[in-house]
Amino acid sequence: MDNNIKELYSTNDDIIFILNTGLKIGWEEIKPQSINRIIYLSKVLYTFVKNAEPNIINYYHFTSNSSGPFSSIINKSIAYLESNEFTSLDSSGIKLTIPNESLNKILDSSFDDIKKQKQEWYKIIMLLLGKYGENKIFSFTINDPLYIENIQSNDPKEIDFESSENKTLNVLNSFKDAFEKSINDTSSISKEEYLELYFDYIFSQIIK
Amino acid sequence: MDFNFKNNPVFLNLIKDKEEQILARTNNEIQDSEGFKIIFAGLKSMLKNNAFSGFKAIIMSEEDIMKVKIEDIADFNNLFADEDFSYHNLITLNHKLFIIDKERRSFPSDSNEARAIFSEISQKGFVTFILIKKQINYFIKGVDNSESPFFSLTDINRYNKKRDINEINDVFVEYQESIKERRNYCKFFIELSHLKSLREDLQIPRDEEEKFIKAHKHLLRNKPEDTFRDDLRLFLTSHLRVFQVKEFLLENMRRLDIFLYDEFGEIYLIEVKWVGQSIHHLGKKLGTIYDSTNINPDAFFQTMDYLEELDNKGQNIVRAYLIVFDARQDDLDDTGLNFDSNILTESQTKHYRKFNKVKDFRVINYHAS
Repeated sequence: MDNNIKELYSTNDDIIFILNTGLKIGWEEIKPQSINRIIYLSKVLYTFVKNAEPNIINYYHFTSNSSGPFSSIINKSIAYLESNEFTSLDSSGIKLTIPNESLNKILDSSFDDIKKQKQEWYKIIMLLLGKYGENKIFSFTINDPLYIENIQSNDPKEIDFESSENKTLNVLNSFKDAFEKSINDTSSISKEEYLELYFDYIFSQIIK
Repeated sequence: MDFNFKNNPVFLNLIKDKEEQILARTNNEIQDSEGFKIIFAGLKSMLKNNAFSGFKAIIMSEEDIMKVKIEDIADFNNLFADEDFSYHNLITLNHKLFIIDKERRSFPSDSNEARAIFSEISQKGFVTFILIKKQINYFIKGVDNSESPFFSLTDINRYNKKRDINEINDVFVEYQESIKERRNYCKFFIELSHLKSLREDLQIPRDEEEKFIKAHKHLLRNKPEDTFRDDLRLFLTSHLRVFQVKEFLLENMRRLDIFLYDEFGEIYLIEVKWVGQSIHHLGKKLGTIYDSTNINPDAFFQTMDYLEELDNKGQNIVRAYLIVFDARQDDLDDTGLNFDSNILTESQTKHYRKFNKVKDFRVINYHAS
Protein backbone atom coordinates (compact mmCIF):
# COMPACT_ATOMS: atom_id res chain seq x y z
CA MET A 1 0.00 0.00 0.00
CA ASP A 2 1.16 3.48 -0.80
CA ASN A 3 2.78 5.03 2.26
CA ASN A 4 0.58 8.13 2.12
CA ILE A 5 -2.58 6.04 2.11
CA LYS A 6 -1.22 3.91 4.95
CA GLU A 7 -0.54 7.02 7.02
CA LEU A 8 -3.98 8.39 6.23
CA TYR A 9 -5.57 5.15 7.46
CA SER A 10 -3.48 5.25 10.62
CA THR A 11 -4.59 8.83 11.18
CA ASN A 12 -8.23 7.82 10.63
CA ASP A 13 -7.83 5.12 13.29
CA ASP A 14 -6.20 7.58 15.68
CA ILE A 15 -8.91 10.19 15.26
CA ILE A 16 -11.70 7.67 15.71
CA PHE A 17 -10.02 6.37 18.85
CA ILE A 18 -9.63 9.91 20.19
CA LEU A 19 -13.26 10.78 19.42
CA ASN A 20 -14.48 7.60 21.09
CA THR A 21 -12.32 8.13 24.17
CA GLY A 22 -13.55 11.72 24.30
CA LEU A 23 -17.12 10.51 24.18
CA LYS A 24 -16.49 8.21 27.13
CA ILE A 25 -15.30 11.12 29.23
CA GLY A 26 -18.20 13.31 28.21
CA TRP A 27 -16.75 15.22 25.25
CA GLU A 28 -19.58 14.70 22.80
CA GLU A 29 -17.80 16.56 20.02
CA ILE A 30 -14.19 17.55 19.64
CA LYS A 31 -13.15 20.54 17.57
CA PRO A 32 -10.74 19.90 14.65
CA GLN A 33 -8.23 22.28 16.24
CA SER A 34 -8.38 20.22 19.46
CA ILE A 35 -7.69 17.03 17.49
CA ASN A 36 -4.57 18.68 16.07
CA ARG A 37 -3.54 19.81 19.55
CA ILE A 38 -4.20 16.45 21.22
CA ILE A 39 -2.10 14.63 18.64
CA TYR A 40 0.59 17.29 18.85
CA LEU A 41 0.81 16.92 22.65
CA SER A 42 0.77 13.13 22.26
CA LYS A 43 3.74 13.33 19.94
CA VAL A 44 5.73 15.93 21.86
CA LEU A 45 5.27 14.25 25.25
CA TYR A 46 5.99 10.73 24.01
CA THR A 47 9.76 11.04 24.05
CA PHE A 48 9.80 12.17 27.66
CA VAL A 49 7.89 9.16 28.92
CA LYS A 50 9.25 6.54 26.55
CA ASN A 51 12.87 7.73 26.50
CA ALA A 52 14.75 6.57 23.43
CA GLU A 53 11.97 4.43 22.01
CA PRO A 54 11.12 5.43 18.44
CA ASN A 55 8.08 7.69 18.39
CA ILE A 56 5.09 5.55 17.38
CA ILE A 57 3.31 8.50 15.83
CA ASN A 58 6.18 9.93 13.86
CA TYR A 59 4.02 10.11 10.69
CA TYR A 60 2.59 13.41 11.94
CA HIS A 61 4.44 16.50 10.77
CA PHE A 62 3.46 19.74 12.44
CA THR A 63 3.91 23.37 11.55
CA SER A 64 2.79 26.28 13.68
CA ASN A 65 0.35 29.07 13.29
CA SER A 66 -1.00 31.44 15.91
CA SER A 67 -3.84 29.11 16.84
CA GLY A 68 -1.44 26.26 17.56
CA PRO A 69 0.35 23.48 15.72
CA PHE A 70 -1.38 21.72 12.86
CA SER A 71 -0.68 18.77 10.64
CA SER A 72 -2.04 18.51 7.11
CA ILE A 73 -2.65 14.77 7.38
CA ILE A 74 -5.01 15.35 10.32
CA ASN A 75 -7.04 17.81 8.30
CA LYS A 76 -7.12 15.39 5.35
CA SER A 77 -8.29 12.62 7.62
CA ILE A 78 -11.01 14.79 9.17
CA ALA A 79 -12.35 15.48 5.66
CA TYR A 80 -12.06 11.79 4.73
CA LEU A 81 -13.96 10.61 7.81
CA GLU A 82 -16.73 13.11 7.22
CA SER A 83 -17.12 12.33 3.55
CA ASN A 84 -17.33 8.63 4.37
CA GLU A 85 -19.94 9.36 7.04
CA PHE A 86 -17.84 8.05 9.90
CA THR A 87 -18.20 11.45 11.53
CA SER A 88 -20.19 14.63 11.22
CA LEU A 89 -18.84 18.10 11.65
CA ASP A 90 -20.67 21.20 12.80
CA SER A 91 -19.78 24.34 14.72
CA SER A 92 -19.48 22.40 18.02
CA GLY A 93 -16.95 20.00 16.55
CA ILE A 94 -16.61 16.49 15.18
CA LYS A 95 -18.94 13.76 16.30
CA LEU A 96 -18.80 10.02 15.67
CA THR A 97 -21.72 8.81 13.57
CA ILE A 98 -20.43 5.36 12.73
CA PRO A 99 -22.55 2.37 13.89
CA ASN A 100 -21.29 0.53 16.97
CA GLU A 101 -20.42 -2.66 15.18
CA SER A 102 -18.15 -0.96 12.67
CA LEU A 103 -16.72 1.23 15.41
CA ASN A 104 -15.71 -1.79 17.46
CA LYS A 105 -13.99 -3.29 14.43
CA ILE A 106 -12.02 -0.11 13.83
CA LEU A 107 -11.04 0.16 17.49
CA ASP A 108 -10.01 -3.47 17.76
CA SER A 109 -6.28 -3.69 18.31
CA SER A 110 -6.00 -7.30 19.39
CA PHE A 111 -3.92 -8.22 16.33
CA ASP A 112 -1.94 -5.05 16.00
CA ASP A 113 0.58 -4.33 18.72
CA ILE A 114 1.56 -0.87 17.48
CA LYS A 115 -2.09 0.15 17.29
CA LYS A 116 -2.55 -1.10 20.84
CA GLN A 117 0.45 0.92 22.07
CA LYS A 118 -0.83 4.02 20.31
CA GLN A 119 -4.27 3.62 21.85
CA GLU A 120 -2.77 3.21 25.32
CA TRP A 121 -0.72 6.36 24.80
CA TYR A 122 -3.62 8.45 23.47
CA LYS A 123 -5.69 7.29 26.42
CA ILE A 124 -3.01 8.51 28.84
CA ILE A 125 -2.93 11.91 27.14
CA MET A 126 -6.72 12.19 26.91
CA LEU A 127 -7.14 11.36 30.60
CA LEU A 128 -4.43 13.84 31.45
CA LEU A 129 -6.25 16.54 29.49
CA GLY A 130 -9.65 15.33 30.67
CA LYS A 131 -8.83 16.54 34.13
CA TYR A 132 -8.98 20.12 32.85
CA GLY A 133 -11.44 19.87 29.94
CA GLU A 134 -11.24 20.29 26.18
CA ASN A 135 -11.29 24.08 26.43
CA LYS A 136 -7.95 24.06 28.24
CA ILE A 137 -6.07 22.11 25.56
CA PHE A 138 -5.34 25.31 23.67
CA SER A 139 -3.65 26.87 26.71
CA PHE A 140 -1.50 23.80 27.26
CA THR A 141 -0.48 23.71 23.61
CA ILE A 142 0.43 27.36 23.25
CA ASN A 143 2.45 27.10 26.45
CA ASP A 144 4.42 24.18 25.07
CA PRO A 145 8.10 25.19 24.86
CA LEU A 146 8.76 23.54 21.49
CA TYR A 147 5.74 25.25 19.96
CA ILE A 148 6.70 28.61 21.52
CA GLU A 149 10.18 28.30 20.08
CA ASN A 150 8.83 27.47 16.63
CA ILE A 151 6.17 30.20 16.48
CA GLN A 152 8.64 32.81 17.70
CA SER A 153 11.10 32.13 14.91
CA ASN A 154 10.75 34.50 11.97
CA ASP A 155 10.04 31.70 9.58
CA PRO A 156 8.08 28.93 11.31
CA LYS A 157 8.79 25.66 9.59
CA GLU A 158 8.10 22.04 10.43
CA ILE A 159 8.53 21.46 14.14
CA ASP A 160 11.56 19.29 14.79
CA PHE A 161 10.76 16.70 17.46
CA GLU A 162 13.88 14.61 16.95
CA SER A 163 16.57 17.16 17.66
CA SER A 164 18.58 16.90 20.87
CA GLU A 165 17.59 20.54 21.36
CA ASN A 166 13.93 19.50 21.74
CA LYS A 167 12.78 22.29 24.05
CA THR A 168 9.82 20.46 25.55
CA LEU A 169 11.93 17.45 26.39
CA ASN A 170 14.55 19.69 28.01
CA VAL A 171 11.91 21.54 30.03
CA LEU A 172 10.31 18.32 31.24
CA ASN A 173 13.70 16.93 32.20
CA SER A 174 14.48 20.15 34.05
CA PHE A 175 11.11 19.82 35.82
CA LYS A 176 11.96 16.24 36.81
CA ASP A 177 15.47 17.25 37.91
CA ALA A 178 13.96 19.92 40.17
CA PHE A 179 11.94 17.22 41.96
CA GLU A 180 14.97 14.99 42.27
CA LYS A 181 16.93 17.91 43.69
CA SER A 182 14.29 18.86 46.26
CA ILE A 183 12.85 15.50 47.34
CA ASN A 184 15.06 12.83 48.86
CA ASP A 185 13.44 9.80 47.30
CA THR A 186 11.58 10.26 44.04
CA SER A 187 11.56 6.59 43.10
CA SER A 188 7.77 6.46 43.55
CA ILE A 189 7.19 9.17 40.92
CA SER A 190 6.73 7.69 37.47
CA LYS A 191 7.30 9.59 34.23
CA GLU A 192 3.55 9.76 33.68
CA GLU A 193 3.14 11.25 37.14
CA TYR A 194 5.74 13.87 36.30
CA LEU A 195 3.62 14.76 33.31
CA GLU A 196 0.57 15.14 35.54
CA LEU A 197 2.49 17.26 38.00
CA TYR A 198 3.81 19.36 35.13
CA PHE A 199 0.33 19.94 33.68
CA ASP A 200 -0.99 20.80 37.12
CA TYR A 201 1.78 23.32 37.54
CA ILE A 202 1.27 24.85 34.07
CA PHE A 203 -2.48 24.98 34.71
CA SER A 204 -1.95 26.79 38.01
CA GLN A 205 0.20 29.32 36.15
CA ILE A 206 -2.39 29.74 33.38
CA ILE A 207 -5.21 30.62 35.78
CA LYS A 208 -3.10 33.10 37.74
CA MET B 1 6.66 31.45 32.14
CA ASP B 2 10.00 30.42 33.61
CA PHE B 3 10.82 26.97 32.25
CA ASN B 4 14.18 26.66 33.94
CA PHE B 5 12.79 24.63 36.81
CA LYS B 6 15.92 22.97 38.15
CA ASN B 7 17.72 26.25 38.77
CA ASN B 8 14.74 28.20 40.02
CA PRO B 9 15.05 28.52 43.82
CA VAL B 10 11.41 29.55 44.26
CA PHE B 11 10.23 26.47 42.39
CA LEU B 12 12.66 24.21 44.27
CA ASN B 13 11.35 25.59 47.57
CA LEU B 14 7.79 25.09 46.44
CA ILE B 15 8.49 21.40 45.82
CA LYS B 16 10.28 21.06 49.13
CA ASP B 17 7.34 22.64 50.96
CA LYS B 18 4.87 20.38 49.21
CA GLU B 19 6.96 17.21 49.39
CA GLU B 20 4.52 15.42 51.65
CA GLN B 21 1.50 16.25 49.47
CA ILE B 22 3.35 15.33 46.28
CA LEU B 23 4.45 11.95 47.58
CA ALA B 24 1.02 11.26 49.07
CA ARG B 25 -0.42 11.85 45.65
CA THR B 26 2.11 9.89 43.61
CA ASN B 27 1.82 6.97 46.04
CA ASN B 28 -1.96 6.96 45.87
CA GLU B 29 -2.86 4.03 43.64
CA ILE B 30 -6.52 5.00 43.47
CA GLN B 31 -5.86 8.52 42.27
CA ASP B 32 -3.34 7.11 39.86
CA SER B 33 -5.72 4.54 38.42
CA GLU B 34 -7.28 4.73 34.99
CA GLY B 35 -10.70 4.35 36.61
CA PHE B 36 -10.32 7.37 38.83
CA LYS B 37 -9.06 9.50 35.95
CA ILE B 38 -11.95 8.45 33.71
CA ILE B 39 -14.54 9.25 36.38
CA PHE B 40 -12.94 12.57 37.26
CA ALA B 41 -12.61 13.64 33.60
CA GLY B 42 -16.19 12.57 32.86
CA LEU B 43 -17.63 14.46 35.82
CA LYS B 44 -15.53 17.48 34.92
CA SER B 45 -16.83 17.64 31.37
CA MET B 46 -20.41 17.20 32.55
CA LEU B 47 -20.00 20.21 34.81
CA LYS B 48 -18.44 22.18 32.00
CA ASN B 49 -21.22 21.28 29.55
CA ASN B 50 -23.74 22.77 31.94
CA ALA B 51 -25.30 19.38 32.49
CA PHE B 52 -25.28 20.19 36.18
CA SER B 53 -24.97 23.19 38.46
CA GLY B 54 -26.26 22.13 41.85
CA PHE B 55 -24.95 19.82 44.52
CA LYS B 56 -24.48 16.07 44.45
CA ALA B 57 -22.37 13.46 46.19
CA ILE B 58 -21.30 10.52 44.03
CA ILE B 59 -19.66 7.58 45.67
CA MET B 60 -17.95 4.50 44.27
CA SER B 61 -16.31 1.70 46.16
CA GLU B 62 -12.54 1.64 45.83
CA GLU B 63 -12.89 -1.80 44.30
CA ASP B 64 -15.26 -0.49 41.62
CA ILE B 65 -13.04 2.49 40.84
CA MET B 66 -10.12 0.15 40.19
CA LYS B 67 -12.29 -1.91 37.82
CA VAL B 68 -13.45 0.96 35.61
CA LYS B 69 -12.41 0.46 31.99
CA ILE B 70 -13.02 3.00 29.30
CA GLU B 71 -14.43 0.40 26.95
CA ASP B 72 -16.98 -0.85 29.54
CA ILE B 73 -18.50 2.32 30.92
CA ALA B 74 -21.84 3.79 29.99
CA ASP B 75 -22.17 7.35 28.72
CA PHE B 76 -21.88 10.15 31.28
CA ASN B 77 -24.57 12.05 29.39
CA ASN B 78 -27.03 9.21 30.01
CA LEU B 79 -26.12 9.17 33.67
CA PHE B 80 -26.74 12.88 34.06
CA ALA B 81 -30.01 12.62 32.14
CA ASP B 82 -31.24 9.82 34.42
CA GLU B 83 -34.26 10.78 36.51
CA ASP B 84 -32.95 8.96 39.59
CA PHE B 85 -29.68 10.79 39.24
CA SER B 86 -31.43 14.15 39.01
CA TYR B 87 -33.69 13.59 41.99
CA HIS B 88 -31.25 12.09 44.49
CA ASN B 89 -28.22 13.77 45.99
CA LEU B 90 -26.24 10.76 47.20
CA ILE B 91 -25.60 8.36 44.35
CA THR B 92 -23.62 5.15 44.42
CA LEU B 93 -22.22 3.99 41.09
CA ASN B 94 -20.65 0.74 40.03
CA HIS B 95 -17.71 0.30 37.70
CA LYS B 96 -19.93 0.53 34.62
CA LEU B 97 -21.38 3.84 35.76
CA PHE B 98 -24.74 2.31 36.66
CA ILE B 99 -26.60 3.62 39.71
CA ILE B 100 -26.63 0.88 42.33
CA ASP B 101 -27.91 2.95 45.23
CA LYS B 102 -29.53 6.33 45.63
CA GLU B 103 -30.66 8.50 48.47
CA ARG B 104 -32.04 11.96 49.01
CA ARG B 105 -30.35 13.05 52.16
CA SER B 106 -30.27 16.28 54.06
CA PHE B 107 -26.64 17.35 54.34
CA PRO B 108 -25.53 20.13 56.72
CA SER B 109 -25.50 23.64 55.31
CA ASP B 110 -22.24 24.28 57.12
CA SER B 111 -19.35 23.25 54.87
CA ASN B 112 -17.15 22.06 57.72
CA GLU B 113 -19.82 19.73 59.05
CA ALA B 114 -20.60 18.46 55.56
CA ARG B 115 -16.90 17.93 54.86
CA ALA B 116 -16.62 15.73 57.96
CA ILE B 117 -19.48 13.54 56.72
CA PHE B 118 -17.94 13.03 53.27
CA SER B 119 -14.56 12.37 54.75
CA GLU B 120 -16.12 9.69 56.95
CA ILE B 121 -17.87 8.04 53.98
CA SER B 122 -14.56 7.87 52.16
CA GLN B 123 -12.92 6.22 55.15
CA LYS B 124 -15.35 3.35 54.73
CA GLY B 125 -13.83 2.39 51.38
CA PHE B 126 -15.79 4.71 49.09
CA VAL B 127 -14.17 7.30 46.88
CA THR B 128 -16.43 10.29 47.34
CA PHE B 129 -16.93 12.96 44.67
CA ILE B 130 -18.79 16.09 45.62
CA LEU B 131 -20.12 18.07 42.69
CA ILE B 132 -20.84 21.60 43.72
CA LYS B 133 -21.68 24.18 41.07
CA LYS B 134 -18.75 23.86 38.62
CA GLN B 135 -16.28 22.30 41.05
CA ILE B 136 -15.41 18.78 42.03
CA ASN B 137 -14.22 17.98 45.52
CA TYR B 138 -13.19 14.45 46.29
CA PHE B 139 -12.10 12.31 49.20
CA ILE B 140 -10.01 9.17 49.09
CA LYS B 141 -9.54 7.26 52.34
CA GLY B 142 -10.56 10.30 54.35
CA VAL B 143 -8.14 12.64 52.60
CA ASP B 144 -9.69 15.81 51.23
CA ASN B 145 -8.58 16.67 47.68
CA SER B 146 -10.83 19.58 47.01
CA GLU B 147 -10.94 22.20 44.30
CA SER B 148 -13.32 24.27 46.35
CA PRO B 149 -13.64 24.89 50.08
CA PHE B 150 -17.44 24.57 49.83
CA PHE B 151 -19.49 21.53 50.65
CA SER B 152 -22.90 23.13 50.78
CA LEU B 153 -24.91 25.25 48.36
CA THR B 154 -25.87 27.60 51.19
CA ASP B 155 -22.22 28.38 51.82
CA ILE B 156 -21.31 28.79 48.17
CA ASN B 157 -24.28 31.07 47.49
CA ARG B 158 -23.38 33.19 50.47
CA TYR B 159 -19.82 33.37 49.23
CA ASN B 160 -20.88 34.38 45.72
CA LYS B 161 -22.67 37.39 47.17
CA LYS B 162 -19.47 38.56 48.75
CA ARG B 163 -17.15 41.15 47.31
CA ASP B 164 -13.85 40.67 45.63
CA ILE B 165 -10.71 41.11 47.73
CA ASN B 166 -9.67 44.14 45.66
CA GLU B 167 -12.60 45.94 47.33
CA ILE B 168 -11.15 45.40 50.78
CA ASN B 169 -10.76 49.14 51.41
CA ASP B 170 -14.50 49.65 50.85
CA VAL B 171 -15.18 46.81 53.27
CA PHE B 172 -12.96 48.52 55.86
CA VAL B 173 -15.10 51.65 55.48
CA GLU B 174 -18.26 49.56 55.92
CA TYR B 175 -16.77 48.04 59.02
CA GLN B 176 -15.96 51.47 60.44
CA GLU B 177 -19.59 52.41 59.92
CA SER B 178 -20.85 49.20 61.49
CA ILE B 179 -18.94 49.72 64.74
CA LYS B 180 -20.80 52.97 65.27
CA GLU B 181 -23.90 50.91 65.98
CA ARG B 182 -24.58 50.19 69.61
CA ARG B 183 -25.10 46.46 69.18
CA ASN B 184 -21.64 46.29 67.60
CA TYR B 185 -19.55 48.61 69.74
CA CYS B 186 -20.95 47.52 73.13
CA LYS B 187 -18.97 44.26 72.98
CA PHE B 188 -15.68 46.18 73.18
CA PHE B 189 -16.37 48.11 76.40
CA ILE B 190 -16.95 47.05 79.98
CA GLU B 191 -20.56 47.05 81.10
CA LEU B 192 -22.20 49.88 83.01
CA SER B 193 -22.67 47.67 86.07
CA HIS B 194 -18.96 46.91 85.98
CA LEU B 195 -18.14 50.61 85.79
CA LYS B 196 -20.26 51.19 88.86
CA SER B 197 -18.56 48.47 90.86
CA LEU B 198 -15.19 49.74 89.69
CA ARG B 199 -15.99 53.13 91.19
CA GLU B 200 -16.53 51.39 94.49
CA ASP B 201 -13.33 49.35 94.11
CA LEU B 202 -11.40 52.53 93.42
CA GLN B 203 -13.07 54.15 96.45
CA ILE B 204 -14.49 57.07 94.51
CA PRO B 205 -17.33 58.73 96.42
CA ARG B 206 -20.83 57.68 95.32
CA ASP B 207 -21.86 61.24 94.50
CA GLU B 208 -19.17 61.29 91.83
CA GLU B 209 -20.55 58.21 90.08
CA GLU B 210 -22.00 60.03 87.11
CA LYS B 211 -18.78 61.94 86.55
CA PHE B 212 -16.78 58.71 86.94
CA ILE B 213 -18.89 56.87 84.40
CA LYS B 214 -18.61 59.68 81.89
CA ALA B 215 -14.84 59.79 82.30
CA HIS B 216 -14.35 56.01 82.07
CA LYS B 217 -17.01 54.73 79.73
CA HIS B 218 -14.30 54.22 77.06
CA LEU B 219 -12.67 51.54 79.26
CA LEU B 220 -12.18 48.44 77.17
CA ARG B 221 -12.72 44.91 78.34
CA ASN B 222 -9.68 42.90 79.31
CA LYS B 223 -7.59 41.66 76.34
CA PRO B 224 -9.30 43.96 73.85
CA GLU B 225 -6.88 42.84 71.12
CA ASP B 226 -8.68 39.49 71.00
CA THR B 227 -12.14 41.04 70.74
CA PHE B 228 -11.11 43.54 68.06
CA ARG B 229 -9.27 40.95 66.01
CA ASP B 230 -12.06 38.37 66.13
CA ASP B 231 -14.73 40.93 65.33
CA LEU B 232 -12.87 42.30 62.32
CA ARG B 233 -11.95 38.83 61.10
CA LEU B 234 -15.58 37.73 61.21
CA PHE B 235 -16.69 40.84 59.36
CA LEU B 236 -14.07 40.47 56.63
CA THR B 237 -14.67 36.79 56.03
CA SER B 238 -18.41 37.33 55.83
CA HIS B 239 -18.09 40.26 53.40
CA LEU B 240 -15.15 39.29 51.18
CA ARG B 241 -14.48 36.30 48.96
CA VAL B 242 -11.57 35.15 51.07
CA PHE B 243 -10.61 32.30 53.30
CA GLN B 244 -8.85 32.61 56.57
CA VAL B 245 -6.10 30.74 58.23
CA LYS B 246 -7.17 30.75 61.85
CA GLU B 247 -3.80 30.79 63.45
CA PHE B 248 -0.62 31.46 61.55
CA LEU B 249 2.50 31.31 63.62
CA LEU B 250 5.80 32.67 62.47
CA GLU B 251 9.02 30.91 63.35
CA ASN B 252 9.52 32.79 66.59
CA MET B 253 5.94 31.86 67.56
CA ARG B 254 4.68 35.38 66.92
CA ARG B 255 1.10 35.11 65.82
CA LEU B 256 -0.27 36.95 62.81
CA ASP B 257 -3.58 38.53 63.67
CA ILE B 258 -5.51 38.01 60.46
CA PHE B 259 -4.19 36.00 57.59
CA LEU B 260 -6.47 35.79 54.56
CA TYR B 261 -6.04 34.23 51.16
CA ASP B 262 -8.12 34.68 48.06
CA GLU B 263 -9.29 32.12 45.52
CA PHE B 264 -5.92 32.20 43.76
CA GLY B 265 -4.06 31.52 47.01
CA GLU B 266 -2.64 35.03 47.25
CA ILE B 267 -2.19 36.23 50.77
CA TYR B 268 -3.25 39.31 52.68
CA LEU B 269 -2.21 39.90 56.23
CA ILE B 270 -3.66 42.27 58.75
CA GLU B 271 -2.03 43.36 61.97
CA VAL B 272 -4.50 44.62 64.56
CA LYS B 273 -3.57 47.09 67.30
CA TRP B 274 -5.50 49.29 69.66
CA VAL B 275 -5.03 52.51 71.56
CA GLY B 276 -6.95 53.51 74.67
CA GLN B 277 -7.25 51.89 78.05
CA SER B 278 -8.47 48.46 79.14
CA ILE B 279 -9.62 47.13 82.48
CA HIS B 280 -7.22 45.10 84.59
CA HIS B 281 -7.69 41.36 84.16
CA LEU B 282 -9.10 41.03 87.68
CA GLY B 283 -11.57 43.78 86.86
CA LYS B 284 -11.00 45.82 89.98
CA LYS B 285 -8.65 48.46 88.72
CA LEU B 286 -7.61 50.25 85.57
CA GLY B 287 -5.38 48.27 83.22
CA THR B 288 -3.13 48.75 80.20
CA ILE B 289 -2.91 52.04 78.33
CA TYR B 290 -1.66 52.26 74.76
CA ASP B 291 -1.21 55.50 72.87
CA SER B 292 0.01 56.54 69.43
CA THR B 293 3.66 56.09 70.41
CA ASN B 294 3.00 52.37 70.63
CA ILE B 295 1.83 52.43 67.04
CA ASN B 296 4.09 54.89 65.30
CA PRO B 297 6.65 53.59 64.53
CA ASP B 298 6.74 50.25 66.47
CA ALA B 299 3.67 48.63 64.92
CA PHE B 300 4.74 49.81 61.46
CA PHE B 301 8.10 48.11 61.92
CA GLN B 302 6.51 44.99 63.30
CA THR B 303 4.22 44.60 60.29
CA MET B 304 7.05 45.24 57.86
CA ASP B 305 9.12 42.58 59.66
CA TYR B 306 6.29 40.08 59.22
CA LEU B 307 6.21 40.90 55.52
CA GLU B 308 9.91 40.29 55.27
CA GLU B 309 9.79 37.01 57.16
CA LEU B 310 6.95 35.67 55.02
CA ASP B 311 8.62 36.87 51.85
CA ASN B 312 11.77 34.99 52.83
CA LYS B 313 9.65 31.88 53.23
CA GLY B 314 8.42 32.27 49.64
CA GLN B 315 4.86 33.29 50.62
CA ASN B 316 3.26 35.53 48.06
CA ILE B 317 1.91 38.37 50.17
CA VAL B 318 -0.12 40.82 48.14
CA ARG B 319 -0.66 43.38 50.86
CA ALA B 320 -0.23 43.93 54.59
CA TYR B 321 -2.56 46.22 56.49
CA LEU B 322 -2.04 47.82 59.86
CA ILE B 323 -5.36 48.44 61.56
CA VAL B 324 -5.64 50.43 64.76
CA PHE B 325 -8.79 50.55 66.87
CA ASP B 326 -8.86 53.94 68.50
CA ALA B 327 -10.77 53.82 71.79
CA ARG B 328 -9.09 56.83 73.34
CA GLN B 329 -11.25 59.11 75.40
CA ASP B 330 -10.62 62.15 73.25
CA ASP B 331 -10.76 62.64 69.51
CA LEU B 332 -7.11 62.70 68.57
CA ASP B 333 -5.17 62.57 65.32
CA ASP B 334 -4.76 59.31 63.43
CA THR B 335 -2.10 57.16 65.08
CA GLY B 336 -0.24 56.85 61.77
CA LEU B 337 0.02 60.57 61.20
CA ASN B 338 3.46 61.80 60.21
CA PHE B 339 5.01 58.36 59.95
CA ASP B 340 8.46 58.95 58.56
CA SER B 341 9.34 56.29 56.00
CA ASN B 342 12.93 57.57 55.92
CA ILE B 343 13.59 55.79 59.20
CA LEU B 344 12.91 52.38 57.66
CA THR B 345 15.85 50.07 57.24
CA GLU B 346 16.87 49.14 53.72
CA SER B 347 15.20 45.77 53.90
CA GLN B 348 11.99 47.23 55.45
CA THR B 349 11.84 49.79 52.63
CA LYS B 350 11.70 46.92 50.15
CA HIS B 351 8.43 45.77 51.72
CA TYR B 352 6.93 49.18 52.39
CA ARG B 353 5.21 49.30 48.99
CA LYS B 354 3.02 46.39 50.09
CA PHE B 355 2.13 48.07 53.36
CA ASN B 356 -1.02 50.06 54.15
CA LYS B 357 -1.86 51.90 57.32
CA VAL B 358 -5.64 52.01 57.32
CA LYS B 359 -7.29 55.09 58.83
CA ASP B 360 -7.90 54.39 62.53
CA PHE B 361 -11.13 52.62 63.40
CA ARG B 362 -12.64 54.98 65.96
CA VAL B 363 -14.63 53.15 68.60
CA ILE B 364 -16.75 55.25 70.90
CA ASN B 365 -19.01 54.06 73.65
CA TYR B 366 -21.77 56.53 72.87
CA HIS B 367 -24.15 54.91 75.34
CA ALA B 368 -22.65 52.75 78.05
CA SER B 369 -24.97 49.84 78.64
